[in-house]
Amino acid sequence: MMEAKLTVLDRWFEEQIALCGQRRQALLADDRADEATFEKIRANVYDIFRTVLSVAARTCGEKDAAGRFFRQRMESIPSGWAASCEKARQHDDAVRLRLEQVKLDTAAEIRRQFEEVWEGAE
Amino acid sequence: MTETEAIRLFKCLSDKSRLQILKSLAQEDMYVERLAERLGLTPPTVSFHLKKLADAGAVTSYKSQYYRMYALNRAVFETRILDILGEESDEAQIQAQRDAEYRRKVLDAFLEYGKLKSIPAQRKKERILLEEIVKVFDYDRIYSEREVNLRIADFYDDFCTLRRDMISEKLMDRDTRGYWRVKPAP
Repeated sequence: MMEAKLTVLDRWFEEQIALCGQRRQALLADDRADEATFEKIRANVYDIFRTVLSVAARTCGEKDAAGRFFRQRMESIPSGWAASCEKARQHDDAVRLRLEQVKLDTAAEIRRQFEEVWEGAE
Repeated sequence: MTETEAIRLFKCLSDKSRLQILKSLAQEDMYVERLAERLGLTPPTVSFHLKKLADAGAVTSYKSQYYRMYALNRAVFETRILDILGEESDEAQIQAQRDAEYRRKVLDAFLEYGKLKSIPAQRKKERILLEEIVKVFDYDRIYSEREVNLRIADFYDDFCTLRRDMISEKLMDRDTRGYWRVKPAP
């Protein structure tokens, strides 16, 4: 059962990374290099949590433990981004703020998708 | 406009979204949400671009009631490209620009919002940071050790190391009366 959920999530991660790549190419072709960088950052965040999920599955072996492992990393990894984001907000640094916000938004999206699939009907 | 400023401006302009923002601001001053709506971008993305444009000197901002308004810095765009190309840039000036650029990179790498992240291992880099930190001290004034420590601690917790390094780099000196900032040789 866990295997089926892992397959769904892995496919979703793969699709999101591919979509980021497509949007990045389109933005580069449209001479919007910085917004293309946002897509690269998004793809990196998907890739990080895709790896975390595969590590969770490999090391924990069963669904509940793997879920706990993944959720714990979903809290700890973005906490540094949130701190950096807050610091940027305090210093009115719109460039850093945007970059950290892209990571946090992507992490929140991953969290929603994970919960939907992991806790959804078998 | 110096070469460095011109390069920063041209780099900043080579982006379609930023060019669209400037085109809108050429018509009238606008706030972030209005620009976002016009250009189909999110407000945080517009703020991101405006910050880059402001850093390159292309836009300015001012407060108007509840909004921060952004305006084109027309003086920059009235500069003729031919005038920029015609500017003399002798070797000394180029070297000075390179040095300034290097200093800026070191400061950006080791200082975050005015706090020192770590003491660089390279002496040359540490010297640059010490030269920046020593600016908190006035010339022609004697400081007690406590005063020196307090001022340095604003930058870094290990104020003892920095204080000693400032002495060894001859940026500050001391005797029984206290510490003072050393004037650079003419």
